[in-house]
Amino acid sequence: MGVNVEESPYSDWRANWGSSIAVKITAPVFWVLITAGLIAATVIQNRFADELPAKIASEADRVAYMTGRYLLDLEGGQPLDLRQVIERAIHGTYFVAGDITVGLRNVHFGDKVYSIHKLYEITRIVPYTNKIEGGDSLIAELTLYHNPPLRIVKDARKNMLVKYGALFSVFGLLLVGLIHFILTKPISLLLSATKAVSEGDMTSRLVNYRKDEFGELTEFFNRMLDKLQNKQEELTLAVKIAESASNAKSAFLANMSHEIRTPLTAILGFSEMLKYDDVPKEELIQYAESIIRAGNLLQQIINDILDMSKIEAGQLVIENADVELFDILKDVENLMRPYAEEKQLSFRIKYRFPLPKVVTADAKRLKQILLNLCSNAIKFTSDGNVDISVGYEKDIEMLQFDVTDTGVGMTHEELERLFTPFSQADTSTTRQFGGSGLGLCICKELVTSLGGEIKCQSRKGIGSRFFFTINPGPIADDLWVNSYQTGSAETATAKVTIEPDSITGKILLAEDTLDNQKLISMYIKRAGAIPVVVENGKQALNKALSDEFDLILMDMQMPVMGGIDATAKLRASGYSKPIVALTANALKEDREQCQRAGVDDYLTKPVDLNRFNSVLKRYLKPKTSPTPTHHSRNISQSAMDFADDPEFQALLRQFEDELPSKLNQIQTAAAKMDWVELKNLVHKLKGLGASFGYPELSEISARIQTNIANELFDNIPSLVEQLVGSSKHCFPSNKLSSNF
Amino acid sequence: MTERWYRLFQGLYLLVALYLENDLMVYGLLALLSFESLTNLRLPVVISQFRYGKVFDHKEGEHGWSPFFIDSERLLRIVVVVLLTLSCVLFPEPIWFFPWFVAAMLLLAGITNICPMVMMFQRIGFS
Repeated sequence: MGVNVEESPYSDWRANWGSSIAVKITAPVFWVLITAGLIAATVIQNRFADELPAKIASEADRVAYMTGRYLLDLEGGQPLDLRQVIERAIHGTYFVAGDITVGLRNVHFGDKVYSIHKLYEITRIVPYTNKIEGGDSLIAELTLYHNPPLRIVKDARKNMLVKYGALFSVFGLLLVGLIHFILTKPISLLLSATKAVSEGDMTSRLVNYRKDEFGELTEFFNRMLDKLQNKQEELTLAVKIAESASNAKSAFLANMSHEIRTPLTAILGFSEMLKYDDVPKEELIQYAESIIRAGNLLQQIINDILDMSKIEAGQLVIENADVELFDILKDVENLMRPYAEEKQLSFRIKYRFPLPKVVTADAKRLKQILLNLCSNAIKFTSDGNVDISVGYEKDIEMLQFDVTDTGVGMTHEELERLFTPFSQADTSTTRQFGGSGLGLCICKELVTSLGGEIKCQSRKGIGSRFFFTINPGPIADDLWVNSYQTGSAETATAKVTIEPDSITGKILLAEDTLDNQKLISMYIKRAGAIPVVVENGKQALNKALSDEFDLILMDMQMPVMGGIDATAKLRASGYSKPIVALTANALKEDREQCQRAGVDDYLTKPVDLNRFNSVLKRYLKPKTSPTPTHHSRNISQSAMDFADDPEFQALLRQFEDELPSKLNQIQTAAAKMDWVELKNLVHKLKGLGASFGYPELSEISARIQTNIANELFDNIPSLVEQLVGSSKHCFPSNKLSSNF
Repeated sequence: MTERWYRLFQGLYLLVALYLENDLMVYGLLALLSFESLTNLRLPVVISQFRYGKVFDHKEGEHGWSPFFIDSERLLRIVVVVLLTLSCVLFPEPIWFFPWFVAAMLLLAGITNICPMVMMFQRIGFS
């Protein structure tokens, strides 16, 4: 039960010591003063008591002497009242009454009769000469009465204590006032300000009227508040910005989810369809093309996101070089024209001559800007035309590009937020036309990096005109042209093609997974090269140093010795032949690690045949007289290109046969919580699954790997179950169903 | 009435009695404090009980009266009684300063609300 403070007799006594600094100082000072004062009073009083008898005697002598003098004056004819004279003589002494006998006269004075104490007496003989009666020597007897010595001491003590008490009280009041002025007042002010700040009032400030430590404290307190207020304002602003950015990113994520799911739906749906045997080959080809189209769209989205993250991180690198302006425009035209024609739009490039033939710019980024603007223009135009116009503005010495369309156009409000990241003109536009909302923001950053600026004019329902400038660098006089003969547009989308058996060389393949060994060996053989397979980095190291190879394909994660160690050792031993990293780890850090180890190139799993092909062509010599046993084919497609290949079929069957045991191993490792083993197993399955056309297995394996890396072990069992379920789904008719 | 006001009154009363050298006043105070010390029926507590119908202790809040309960306030009264008896009754002159000291300290404790004696008792464990 709580105590009612108002009713408790202890209420204010409880908080005594902690109540006030002034009291804390004043009270001990007074304890000392009281004690010291009483000790001093005792000493003084004892001395006074010791000296009192002598003082009384001395005073009696003085009174007697003065009485004698008065008697002389009296006898000299002065008419003095003897009583009055003696009373005047004892005034201020310890004597309260007395008697004097002069001859026959006896005079009494004082209040002897009324005294409550027994009076003490002291007698003195006062000699004098009677001048009137012939100069005879006479005597007068003086008897003086005083209070008992103890009474005198007590009276003196009381007077002293009253005086000291009054003095100490005044001193105490002054001390309290002084303490209040010196300590309590500034502390109270500081306390009030601190309280105000603690309640959220950051505008509270102290008036600095002193130059002592409190003055400094006040100054620093005010400075601290200034900084706190500034920080708070900055934080408030930052929070607003962060909230705004968070909202934009949330909207962007929602948008991205939609944008990613759309092609993903096509990819997964058509991939499912590929499993059925009764689908005609023509339809299979259409499905594959749809998958490729959706994949390209996904890739574009991911590229946009990566570009944006690079821009935000300030890591966007512009690589300026002398480039052919017309080649760039021709590439853009070649890429965009098919899309425009698909929508029955007119696509033209207008050259405003004279134009420089060669400019200094980053061709890749310039092309990226033009492609982005053109694809936007095509996307938002349902009929009419999309035009690119290019000209050199002599007054500002800039190259200007205009991309004009007759599309939906935009309102003024939509134009204002056009180049803001994660935003499109409006959400309904997003839903109707799709897109990440990053393209124009990336364009703006790229144009700025190329030394120019981008603007837009638009009218709702009429169309839009995006125009931007870039700095083309110094242009020599002989590089100006006044005409350009457009040739037939070759498809710039042509993949790197390779004739089977068109290259020659010996390739060392270091790969620990049997299926990957067979698959990649098959790719190498089809290209015409000779594969030599080893299982780990140590074998690769020994083999490379003991034999001659034109190229080494090195998996980075292998037992015994990893690819990075093997590469580093090879380079350290002076090995100079090309080494290409081949790994399922596709992060930037992995690439940098490989580069540091000394690899020349980098291939990621699942193997992109187009990229694989270009690597082979780069590092191996072409055969001088290739045997055209097969027709020219594009090997940059998915594994489905090999669907009819007996060797591939054999590998696929082997993969399917071994999958149950692999999944068993994965389940066992997961049950034993052997995360290292599990990570190795799913790492292998990640590469194999996608290579044999089962991206779902790869995706779940990758998720398991990521969860292990992030120590999110709770998610593992459900992911393993998903993996098993997915396997059943992938191979509904084989023995998986019976085994699981 | 709180203990603080009671202490202030005690200090002032004792000072006046000493100044007037009124032994009866001193004996009256001694009698009152002795009664409080012996019975634990302290004036502020009794007044509090009359006014509010409750009795409080320091830590546990409300509780009933007990003649055996010893707290710092009761101990303070015992010390004051002993000092005043020694200095005013048994040895009035050799230790004449003790009653003045007690009076001054009681008065100061009433003014400042800080009593070193009570603090000391509380420090050694009394409530």
